[in-house]
Amino acid sequence: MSSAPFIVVKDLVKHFPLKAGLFSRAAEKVHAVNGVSLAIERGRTHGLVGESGSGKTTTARLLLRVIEPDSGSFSFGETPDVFALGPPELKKLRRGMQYIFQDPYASLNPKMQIRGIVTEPLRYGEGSSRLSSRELDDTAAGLLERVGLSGSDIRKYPHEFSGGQRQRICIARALSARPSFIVCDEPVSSLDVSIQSQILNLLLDIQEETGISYLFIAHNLAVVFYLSDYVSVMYAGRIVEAGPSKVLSSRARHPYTRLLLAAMPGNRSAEGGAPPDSGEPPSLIRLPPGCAFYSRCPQRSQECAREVPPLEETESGHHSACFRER
Amino acid sequence: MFAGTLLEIPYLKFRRNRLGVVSLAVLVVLYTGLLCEGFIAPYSPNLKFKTKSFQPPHRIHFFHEGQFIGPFAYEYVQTNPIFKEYRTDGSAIHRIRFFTEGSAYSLFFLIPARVHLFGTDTGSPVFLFGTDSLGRDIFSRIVYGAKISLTIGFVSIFLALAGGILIGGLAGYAGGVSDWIAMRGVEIIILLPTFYFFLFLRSVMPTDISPARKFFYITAILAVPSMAGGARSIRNWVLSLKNADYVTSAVLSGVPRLVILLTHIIPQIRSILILNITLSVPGAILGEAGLSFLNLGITEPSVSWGMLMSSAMDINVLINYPWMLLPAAVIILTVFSFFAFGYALKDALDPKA
Ligand SMILES: Nc1ncnc2c1ncn2[C@@H]1O[C@H](COP(=O)(O)OP(=O)(O)OP(=O)(O)O)[C@@H](O)[C@H]1O
Ligand SMILES: [Mg+2]
Repeated sequence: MSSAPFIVVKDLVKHFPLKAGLFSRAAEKVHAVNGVSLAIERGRTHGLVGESGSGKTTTARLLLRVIEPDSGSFSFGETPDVFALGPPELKKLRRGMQYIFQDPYASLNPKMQIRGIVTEPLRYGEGSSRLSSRELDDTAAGLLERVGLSGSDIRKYPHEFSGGQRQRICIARALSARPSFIVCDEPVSSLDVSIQSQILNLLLDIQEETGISYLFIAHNLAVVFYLSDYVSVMYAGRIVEAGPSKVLSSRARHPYTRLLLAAMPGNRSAEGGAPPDSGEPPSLIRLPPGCAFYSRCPQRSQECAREVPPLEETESGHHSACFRER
Repeated sequence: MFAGTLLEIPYLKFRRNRLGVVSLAVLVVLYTGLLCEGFIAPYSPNLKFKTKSFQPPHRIHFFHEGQFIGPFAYEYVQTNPIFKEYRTDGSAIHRIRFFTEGSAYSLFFLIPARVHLFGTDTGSPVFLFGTDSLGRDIFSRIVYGAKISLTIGFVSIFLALAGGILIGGLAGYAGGVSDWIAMRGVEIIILLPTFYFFLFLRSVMPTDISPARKFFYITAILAVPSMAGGARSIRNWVLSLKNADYVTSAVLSGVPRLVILLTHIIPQIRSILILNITLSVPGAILGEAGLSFLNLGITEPSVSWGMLMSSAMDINVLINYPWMLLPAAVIILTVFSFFAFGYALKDALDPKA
């Protein structure tokens, strides 16, 4: 590949200051994201996997600039650094990026008709044009049909739909602005298993038709492998392993990835090294000086406690951050 | 479709609450009466019947000398013009007729008309609630007073609502110093005793102004306490809703803040706001009554219920002409109906009740 990928995120950092209480020291911080880098090719899906609290949502919110990063850069297509944009340029760019939330019950305004919900990105934002009520109806109906709902549902309210249907509405809404990049933050983790695959297939179909790039966030490896071309594994705000889905599913190097693989249903005894573990991730307020996974790692050595292992390429396209598994 | 889905259960619950339904009916009658004041009132509010001052309410009879002749009133003749004593003249009969011709007025404030709900066949006046010191019909004055007393509550509450949404919404959004300042200001207003606060605001406003401006000033004064309360609760709602996912996605779509406030946040608290309005209107009505009672509110020639009560503020009047206190009964009925309706609405909208 000669040209740079469509999306390149470099060294993203976000520390949330803790509110200083009367008796607590100020300047304590939640180290939510500690230098995340990733790249996404046009029309491809990058999976981001990690357990609860590992900083996946924070990363996504940083990319869309819902919250501002402490440092890092984010190049998006022709834009060299999204984080350097002022409000007017950002507004222009935002149409190209959409966000699908984890909880389809919290992401739809319960008092708004579906028609208003799915056309909102069209009615506001950069380059929005005044659409007549008829045009809005037609657009909304078209979007709903696109995601497998009935066009006659436009005047209904969110409470009339099931979780899976709501997630389809969220997808329709995201599509209305014709984005080139969608962040899907655990879009299926709150849904029934039978519904999950329908939604995942819908996302795949849409990608095939339009060439949208996805950043697909999940804590379930099986879902990520199914959808993604490339997967990054996140732990305590850092990427500990990254590589093509196929490579990662068969030749994972980092002990944490192996732990996740071993925890996949039907995969319990597949890998020898990692026993089922009940360890806790480290405190994000006082991160250990060395590898964040040290306390849970079956292969730890003294070196791991002293220094943070860098993310290094072990074979073409496959990166791992572990001193022991090179 | 909307009513059939979201509001069906509250509606059914409300219908079961008898007191709520009755008070809603009373309110509907009062507000309809306000629209057709000229039709319901037999006389103009400032029409003086010179020889009829402090006349007691006419009793309505149906039988004359043992014979049924329909509703009628006997003539009351003044016997002592100094102490306003009256004697019933059993020979002069004035039959009550409906839809009689009378003085000109405009129906619904638009259509010129002369027909009144009732009057007498002889054209001699009938005073259902008696007359005041100048011989004006108290019933007619109550009907005309509704225009100010019943609208002042609503107008001031909507003023309060608009102000509350703006102040509370912006404070909740902006956070930081502006939020802190706004909320401390609001708390001071809430802590002050409401009526003294009204008096204070009234005292700093100009006195010799046109009735319309006076109405506006008083409405604005009455709006301040509810505006403070509204601003505080709306601000708290904004704080709890501004991180909702649908608000975040609206922000990402470039929806302006005020639009987010009006389309994503206010609709979630619509029923709470409606409830607050219903329960605040009686406070504003009483506030107007209180100010006017102390001659600080509505003044002649306008008519309001509080002002009507101020003329009963004399122990002689109260003892000798107790019907002068009838406007108080109307105020109590209205306030009671608003509270009863408000609480019925509250029960109906509460999913747990
Ligand atoms: N606004 C904030 N202020 C302070 N701490 C925050 C804030 N947002 C997130 N955090 C903290 O950052 C850490 C990472 O949170 P994040 O939501 O990114 O995790 P996640 O990987 O998405 O988890 P999940 O799978 O549960 O969604 C958590 O410890 C969280 O408490
Ligand atoms: Mg998350």
